[in-house]
Amino acid sequence: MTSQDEITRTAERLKDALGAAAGVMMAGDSPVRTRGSGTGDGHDLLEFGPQPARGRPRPQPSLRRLRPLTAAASVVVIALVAAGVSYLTGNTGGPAISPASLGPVPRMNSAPDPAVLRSPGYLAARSRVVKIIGSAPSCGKVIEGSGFVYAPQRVMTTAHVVAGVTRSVPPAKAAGPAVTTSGGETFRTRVVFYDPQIDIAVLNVPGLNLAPLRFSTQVNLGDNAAVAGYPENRSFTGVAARITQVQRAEGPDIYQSSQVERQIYKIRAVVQEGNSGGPLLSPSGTVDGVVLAAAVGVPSPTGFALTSAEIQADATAGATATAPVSTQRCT
Amino acid sequence: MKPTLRVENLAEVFQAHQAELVRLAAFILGDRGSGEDVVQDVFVRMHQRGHPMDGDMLPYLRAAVVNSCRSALRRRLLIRRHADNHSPCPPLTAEEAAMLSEDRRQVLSALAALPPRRREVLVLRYYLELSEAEIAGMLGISPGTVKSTAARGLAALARALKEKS
Repeated sequence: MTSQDEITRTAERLKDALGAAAGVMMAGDSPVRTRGSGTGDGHDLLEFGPQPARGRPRPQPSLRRLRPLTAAASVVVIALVAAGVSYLTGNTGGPAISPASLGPVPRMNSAPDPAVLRSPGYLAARSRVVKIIGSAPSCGKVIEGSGFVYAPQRVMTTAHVVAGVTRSVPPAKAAGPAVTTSGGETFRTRVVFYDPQIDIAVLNVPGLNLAPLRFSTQVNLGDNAAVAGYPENRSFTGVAARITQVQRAEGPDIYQSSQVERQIYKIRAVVQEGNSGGPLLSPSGTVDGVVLAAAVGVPSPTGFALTSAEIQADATAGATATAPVSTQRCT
Repeated sequence: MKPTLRVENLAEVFQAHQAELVRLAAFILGDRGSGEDVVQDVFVRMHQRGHPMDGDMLPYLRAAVVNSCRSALRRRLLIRRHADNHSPCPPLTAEEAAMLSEDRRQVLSALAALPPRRREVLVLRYYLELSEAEIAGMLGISPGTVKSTAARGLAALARALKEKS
């Protein structure tokens, strides 16, 4: 027999499944076109154009132009490939996002080169990557993630790492998540900027005297990089990554209340829970992007990072913000 | 929660709503290609008729898409379509389905196996999140019928899922 409880649960499961399915179905099937490819040297140059209107639902994906290094541009039809994405905080099963990929770029797909983990720039940048732990009493969760210093006493992370967080862990009289450096020093923080649409948050960390990391101004597809952070509640961990694609991905905001487009890098790297919010570091130690998610159900380890271009507006807003803002509710 | 757009230009209407309408049709029909055809046809008909574009077009568009889905389903009974959907999880492609959890796939397959009318009501209720009264108005049936159809649909879904697990 079917009880009322079961009916209610079935209705919830149905709603959830339809929402998730809609998330992986791409908007329309008209191919999106952009220019790119054909550089001959195995690298496409990504140029950061002006920021489009952000954070609002945009029904038609428009791809920022990819310009090749040489004049021999060819039109690439973008395959509308969907990929499921699991969000990477310790205890949240976040929304799926569906990237419109740039199609296969086989030469970009070689395995990450671990040499990046020995480059001086990367080695110097490591100390500016911090661990973030906060407690969200409203939903009984402790959320762990990573972040990095990007401005004086300002740490950037993803919004879903601090969503609903109103206390530090371990318990201290702090109304924001705790930040711990690779050296083991712990700081009280307050969230001063919170963007659940793009999925970025900025913490004010008084007393934190680490030199800020800079954002990369140019990223080439195929570049080596490193995913830096504190996965699985471990100490600082860096893994080699390769940037394989840049995409405009349509997906829900962290509360699944609207569809958002984000520019993201698809990276080949082992991205784990707790990496979320950490930087994707270039060999020279600049921030290529912010680690957002890992793909699920794909044969080779794949992650996604918000591009540094996508987060510039948030970075600017967060760098000078001082007033604590609400972290709203858990995801 | 969905924004209502007041636009006067068919292309803008199309851009704004095409994705949602295709998903609506795909869920009701259980296959994406037919869903896209249906939505395309709706817009082409609107264009040909020069339909006045005042006010919020979304309810009208949704109703037109649901109606066209019904016609498509009727045609399908006459013309046995060759299996155009190999996905275990209509209306998603196999690649897309692979991105969903097993649980969600099972729910979607069970939904696709329901009789069309029940599926239609459940999709309107739980994908578009329309009220019973709104669905009644759209389908030209009584709110009571919407309620009972949805209840039977959910019960059938629950049974199907129980058998699988």
